[in-house]
Parts: sequence; structure tokens; C-alpha cells
Amino acid sequence: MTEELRDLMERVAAHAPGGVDDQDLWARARRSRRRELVIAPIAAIAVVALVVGVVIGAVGGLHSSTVEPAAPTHRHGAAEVPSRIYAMPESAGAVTTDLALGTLAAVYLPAGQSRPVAVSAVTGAYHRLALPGFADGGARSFALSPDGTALAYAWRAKVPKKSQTKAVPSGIAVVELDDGYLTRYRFDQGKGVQVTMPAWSPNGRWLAFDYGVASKLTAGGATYGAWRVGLMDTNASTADAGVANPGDALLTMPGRIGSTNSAVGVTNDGTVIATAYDVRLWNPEQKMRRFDLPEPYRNGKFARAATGLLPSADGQHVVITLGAAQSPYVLDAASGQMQLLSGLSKATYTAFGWVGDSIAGTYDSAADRIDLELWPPTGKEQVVGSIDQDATRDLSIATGLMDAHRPTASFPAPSWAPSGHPWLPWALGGAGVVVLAGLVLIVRRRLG
Amino acid sequence: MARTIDEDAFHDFVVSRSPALLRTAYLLTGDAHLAEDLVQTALFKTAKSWRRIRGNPEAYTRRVLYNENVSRWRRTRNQRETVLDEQTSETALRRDVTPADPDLAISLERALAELTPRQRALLVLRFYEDMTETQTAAALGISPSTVKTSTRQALARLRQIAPHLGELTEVRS
Repeated sequence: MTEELRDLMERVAAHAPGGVDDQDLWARARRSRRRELVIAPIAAIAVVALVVGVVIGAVGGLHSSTVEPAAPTHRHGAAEVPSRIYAMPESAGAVTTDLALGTLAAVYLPAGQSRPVAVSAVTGAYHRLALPGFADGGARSFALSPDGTALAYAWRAKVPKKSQTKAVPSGIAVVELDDGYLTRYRFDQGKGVQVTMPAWSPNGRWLAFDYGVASKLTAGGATYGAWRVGLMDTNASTADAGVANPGDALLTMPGRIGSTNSAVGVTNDGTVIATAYDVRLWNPEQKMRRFDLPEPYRNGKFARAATGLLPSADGQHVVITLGAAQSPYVLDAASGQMQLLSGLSKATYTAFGWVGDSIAGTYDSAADRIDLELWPPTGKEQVVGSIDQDATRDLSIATGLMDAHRPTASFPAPSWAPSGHPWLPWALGGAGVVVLAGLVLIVRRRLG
Repeated sequence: MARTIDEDAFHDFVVSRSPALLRTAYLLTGDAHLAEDLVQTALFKTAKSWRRIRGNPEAYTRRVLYNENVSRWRRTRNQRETVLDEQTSETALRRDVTPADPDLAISLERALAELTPRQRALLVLRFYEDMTETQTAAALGISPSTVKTSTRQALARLRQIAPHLGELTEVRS
């Protein structure tokens, strides 16, 4: 039966054509083989490029900022200010509750986030801080001491809702960063207080700040009466179980001066500096001194409060930034003479502190990264580092760690830092797409 | 240009084996032009891989032949379905129940045309090429048990389409 079926199939197959034209079949096959030998590696490279591009892009390499190209210059174990301060993404790093962080170089509050980020001056590591009772007052509510060893912040105790008719324990808290010891300075005024714009004296002994006294507690917060400027001697306070007696600590500058966001300063001898159309220097043991702000700031046309008041270590000079497109002024505290800092173009400046005769600061810009500069008494500014735009909010820098000869040091970039070549994923991905498209075209032509 | 040894060997292979390959291809496709195209394609792929398969080129070529036929059918079956008009469909339907044909070879050819390419390939390999189930399975890249059941189904289909082929299709698979 099988034989018969086979014979029958043979009869069917007899209708098959006679032969195959094999002319140039061999040559065409060889050419095709050679093409494949070329195309296959190109296709593999294109696919790899595409995958690498997509992966780098997805991981965050598309950030427009770049990494400092310089090799790390940080000296092992030394406390130095990093030449690059990164904006820590919300997704990066865990929250730190252990506040024994060692010396810090900078603290800032990332935009849209509620926890400050601290940058270690020793390791360059970034820490998202869980500060007990941190009370963000809508303006800068913390300050790093100039030597980076202490962090002061606005503090308010958590109280049960049913107890909120009583005063809320509140004031300012200071963390000793070498051991994480926390002292809460409680100010028993009204229903509680909100501290903003704390500022350390250059020697780290005094703290000056704005504070508002709550006259009424509401469901969403509190209603504050007049804001005042407070002064506290951290050496004189006696802490008991971490809570200091307020009576020993808080001194209030006479007059209704201060607001949630007006800068204050304090010298090494405890002289408070504040502004209200004029500059006022007040020491509890001396008479208040007043100096006129230069025109046009004295007439109220512009913001009446300074954005920065930073006394030099000897207290002879105060650098004043006014939150307007104007160079900072330098006040001679003895004569009251006020002069524009020469060599700077018109811009809105933020000052962080004195570094020798120079001032460390930045000028406002919409760029993704802004320069950290040293402004000398005369001459041109010197760029000593850069700060991500998103790391500039409420930024406090330990300028006592900076030196005119070695203001900053470069640290290894954190693992979550953006790629140094933001164009790379685009270039790789683009190249991959172009090559793949070309290959698809070739294959379709061949099949067609 | 002088031919290489490989090219000569390939040419000899084509000359000696292409008639047999064409007959198989015709049985697989039921169309002379398609058979020629199929063999050309298979030989082209053979030439490309010649250095790798020159020990036994025919096995490779036949495997390409069978698989390429199935692939070609898959690529074009939608097109065929769309070009079938009402009359053609009716003709095909009538052919399914064609009464006994005086020429058995023509009947078999028509009946083979009604099978799927896989079924045709199975019958060609098993009964024309006289391969065992294991060899057929290796040639088509399927399991021997699939060969067994699919061959049985293909024969049953043949009997259904052309009952007058009678005991020719009563082959033990």
C-alpha cells in the first residue's frame, strides 16, 4: 500500500519543473553572507546602545546638571565645605533620626519637602534629617553654626488636640552634632512661639532670631501677634533634662521689629543686628544704635527688611543683602558708613558668612546650578563651588570651615548624583534608533 | 572568474539533486512556479551556509524546503483568504466532495492541495521520501509523537476528501 501511494505521488511529482537556474546563486549567497557579517554586529551595537540609553535615562541620567569633573581633593578626616552641593532627590536616602552626624558643611530644605537635608563636612554624605519637633515657620527655620558643629532649629512640642487650649511648649532647639545631644530652649510666652531666621554669632555662642508669640491657637496652627527679635546666649542657659530654663536664655530686642522672614544677625559679643528701614544694632548692655539704609531703601519703597545681616568675626563690619537687584552693602559698625561691595554686578545676592576678609555668597539665578562665590573687599568675585538650584532654599553653610586659600574641597559624588554626561543617553538612544531604523529598511527591501 | 572548490561542489550538488528537490517541492506546493521558487530559496540558504553544512547539504536543504513552505503559507494565507471570491469558495467546497476520479494521480494531487502545508509535508516525507517517524520529526523539527498523530489525521483527511483513493490511504502510520 505504501508503495502504491508512493508511485502515485511519483506520478504527481512528474509535473514538477525540470531544473533550477543556479547561475549567480552562489555569488548572491556569498554577498548576502558578507552583508550579514557586517549588519549583525551593527545591529547588536545598536540594540546595546538603545538599551544603555534607555537605562541611563530611566535611572536619572537625564538631569540637566553635571558632576564636577575634578578628582576629589578632600583631605581624609578634615572638615571642609564641598565644592558641589547637590539637591538630594526625595527618593534618595533614608531619613536619619540619629543626629550624631559629626561636623556638617551645609543644611538646606529641598523645595516641596518637609525634612532638611544635611551635608557632612567630613565625608560629603547627605542625610535627610528627622529633627524632633521641627516647626517650619514658612521662612528659614534652622541655622548651622559657622563651625558646623551645632544645628539650631525652631521647635514646637507635639500636644494632644484636646490640650491645645493651653500654651504649646515651643522655642528653639540646638543639636550638638558630635554626639547628637539635643537641648530644647522653651520660651513660655502667650500660647507658644514660632521662631524663624535663626542666626549664629561667628563664634557660635549667641543665637539671634525672629519670633512671633501665638495669641490664639487654631485648628490649622496659631495666630501670631507682633514679631520680635530674640537673642539667646547658649553658654548661659542651664539645661535640665534637655529643656533649658527660658528665663535665663531669652532676651528680646526693644521695639516691634522683626517678621517671619527678616534677617537678623549677632556679633561675637552678643550685639544683635536687625533692619526696619534702618539698621539697628542692639546690645542688652548698651544703647541701641541706628544707621540709615542708603537711598532708596530707607523710604519704604523697597522691602524694608534685609535678607542677610552677617557680622564679621571682629564685629567691625556687617554685610547686608537687601533682596533687591543690588550689590550687597558693607556697614562699618563704628562709623555707620555703608558702602556697596565693589566688583559685583547688579543682582540679588545671598550671603552665607565671612571667610577672612571676603564674603561667601551666591547670586540668584534661574540656572540649574548657581555659583558659590567669594566676594573680596575689592576686586572681582572668585567662584569656589556650585550649588544645585534645588539645594539653595534656606541654605545654611558652615563658612567657618572655609579658608580664603582653600575655601572648598571636592568630594566623591553621591551615588544618586546625576550623570556627568546628560547628553549621553540621548546620543546612545538616538544612535540606536537610527541604526535600527536603517536595518529595518534594508531587511524590508530585501524581503520586498 | 575561477570557481572555488566550494562553488564547484555546490554546483554539482544543485545539478545532481535539484530534480529530486523540485519533485518534492511540487508535492509540497502543488504548483510548478511555487516549487521552483521554493527550491531556489532553499538552495540560496544552502549556499549561504555551505561551509557549515557541506558534509550533508541535502538534509539541510530539505529541512529548509519543508519549513520555508510552511512559513510561506503562513505569510500568504491571509492574502489568499482575501482573494477568494464566492465562486472560488464554492468550487473549493465542491472539490471536497468530488466523486471518484478516473485518474488517481489527479485525484491525489487535488486532495493534497486541500491539506495544510504541514499535513502535506508529513505525507510527502513519510510516504514519498520514505522517511521514518523519527527522521520526519527531525526534518520538520517536531516530536515523533506529533508526527504519528498528525500523519494519522492527514490520512483521515485524505480519505474524507477523496474516498475513492480507497485502500491507498489505509496505510498504517
